[in-house]
Amino acid sequence: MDKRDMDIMNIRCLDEKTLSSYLDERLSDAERKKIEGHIADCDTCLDMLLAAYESRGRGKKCPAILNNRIKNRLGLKQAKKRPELKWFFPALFFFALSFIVKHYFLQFLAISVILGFKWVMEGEGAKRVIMIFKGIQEKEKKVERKSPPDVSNIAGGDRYGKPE
Amino acid sequence: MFDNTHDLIERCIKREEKAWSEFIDRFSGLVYYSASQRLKRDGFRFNEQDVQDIVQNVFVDIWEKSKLAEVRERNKIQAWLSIVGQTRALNFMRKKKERLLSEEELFSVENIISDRGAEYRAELIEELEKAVEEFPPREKIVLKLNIIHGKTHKEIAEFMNIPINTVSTIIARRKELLRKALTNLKV
Repeated sequence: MDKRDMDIMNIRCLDEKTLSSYLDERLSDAERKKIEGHIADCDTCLDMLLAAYESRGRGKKCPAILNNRIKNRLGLKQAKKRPELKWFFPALFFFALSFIVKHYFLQFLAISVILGFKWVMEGEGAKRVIMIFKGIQEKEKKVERKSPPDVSNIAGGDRYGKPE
Repeated sequence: MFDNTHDLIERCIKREEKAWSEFIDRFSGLVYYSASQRLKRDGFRFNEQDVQDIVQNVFVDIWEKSKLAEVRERNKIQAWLSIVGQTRALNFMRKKKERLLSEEELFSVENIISDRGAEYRAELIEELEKAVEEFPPREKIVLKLNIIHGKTHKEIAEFMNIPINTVSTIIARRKELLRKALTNLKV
């Protein structure tokens, strides 16, 4: 058992609540001294407290997929995501407009197609398709890199040998 | 939705689902950061999946054991969460180590811990421990934070909630003595 394991196993170590209270700044002098008396000799607790101090304001948001995994594990209901419609309605509007203002039919139709394309591409389904497509492409590239050139059919034998 | 952390925690204690959802969104990043920092600082080799499992375990544990009710300072929960994340990270790696040992995959255990950085650190800590053995606890902490952890006087003062002049005085007073003690250490 190394020093770190011994420190972890140390039953004299302060519990999580007591240790974190050191950073709360509301302790009496006696309480502070008691904690300081321990962390002065316990490098594990001192380092843990220091890491907690350094983590203030750090730690970006976790990916939604992890948060959702935790929520599912706890059995929390998750708010259903509203479909992304900010591109859909303008696309529909310009599509309708192209038939109303026939003079600019093609222009409005083109705008409608562009907005429609944006709507499709920002949808979850489209994102998934893009990810699958990229995955396949990367896999193909790896296979190309790995496969050695086929030299079996080259006439003239190997590099040092004579032709059969 | 919950601007006030105290209010958020109170509602979480009452097991309101919206509050818990917000609690996870707001603090999972902190737990993730703290757990991965702990594993890095202790020289563990870990992957993304390990940290994700640790973060999940932390929140499940808090939920199942209603640990939020035990927290005294409900508007200052970050330090506690960070320490919980760190201890769970250490427990997780210890269990992983034990599991691998029981599976007789000794070669994998060697791969979990990289001791190269830790070796020098352990040597430095050992020398410093000897040198500061007789010092009062507060001075020991100041010197360790300054020498081992490379913290500035200002950071130490903030961390220990003491005036910066006190920190500077302690360091200045003990510097010469420590310089002699630590010159024996080959870097």
